[in-house]
Amino acid sequence: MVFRCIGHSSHICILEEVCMYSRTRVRALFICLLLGIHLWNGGAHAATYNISPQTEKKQAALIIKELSSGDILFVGGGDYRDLGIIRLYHKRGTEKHPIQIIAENTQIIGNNISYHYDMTGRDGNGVIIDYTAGGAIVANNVIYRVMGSGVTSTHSMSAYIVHNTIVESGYHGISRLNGVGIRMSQPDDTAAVIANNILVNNQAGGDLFQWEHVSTALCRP
Amino acid sequence: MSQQRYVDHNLIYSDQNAPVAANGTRKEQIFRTLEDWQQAGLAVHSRAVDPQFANVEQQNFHIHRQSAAVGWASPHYATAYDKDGVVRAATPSVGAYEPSDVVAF
Repeated sequence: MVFRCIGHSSHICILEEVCMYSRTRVRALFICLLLGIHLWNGGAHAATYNISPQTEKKQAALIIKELSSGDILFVGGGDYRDLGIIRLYHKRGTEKHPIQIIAENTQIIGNNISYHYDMTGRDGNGVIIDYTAGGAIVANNVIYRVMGSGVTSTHSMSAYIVHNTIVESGYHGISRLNGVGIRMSQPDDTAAVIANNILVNNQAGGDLFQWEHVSTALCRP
Repeated sequence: MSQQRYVDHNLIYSDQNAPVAANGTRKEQIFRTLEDWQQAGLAVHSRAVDPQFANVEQQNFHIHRQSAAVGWASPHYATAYDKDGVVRAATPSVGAYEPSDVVAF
């Protein structure tokens, strides 16, 4: 039996694809998703994983470590403070078969984030909103001296970035294009709200919003 | 809001003459000052002033009551509480904190 995993976005897309099959097969796929059984993804083997706030810390770390091209990770809504730092941003996969991280109700609120460092010099952001269609909320955070940008949004819609204090991003950074206060990096980083933030002395190019490929006219309220 | 972005009511400051904003893969379009950006019709309620943090060296980013960050955030996009759990004012401040008297400056 061959299943075709969906491209991006959400649970809904999966159901739309699956509805082409009979009802019995829908059930079968559902069970596969819940159990994280390997699926077929147009040529690349893919696995589906789930993380929730109830996931044991060691188990979560193991899942993230095992992610590879074509995999899908569903990050359930909730409070992840007890899980500690979850580092997902180096997990990209290949261009043709990216690792999809689909997070729901993502809220990053009230954190102190400082001195994030990346050996390649091209990352080290304070907060990364990656492939998140559900409107991540990034609010009331203090972000200080990270090597990359304070907040970076990549392929994510409806981000809500408010009331953050972002100071001296790009600290010891080497990338001319990184180290800004808030960065919207892709054309599909749309429908965002960026308001009520303080951005001070961010270094790579200064205090800077960056919109790649997009006309500034799109930034008009 | 359709596919557009709302970008405004931010305090953007640099004492190193860094640009306020840029656009393009390689920053082809650079706004050196907030005035430049505002002349393009963007960020018209934003400000470029020093918020005067309590103590940057000690990573204390609270603001005092005379700070330029006080009282001009957009209430429409304000959070209910600040980072310390203090209820936001009716005319809230930008940044993570509402002004505080208990913080040493």
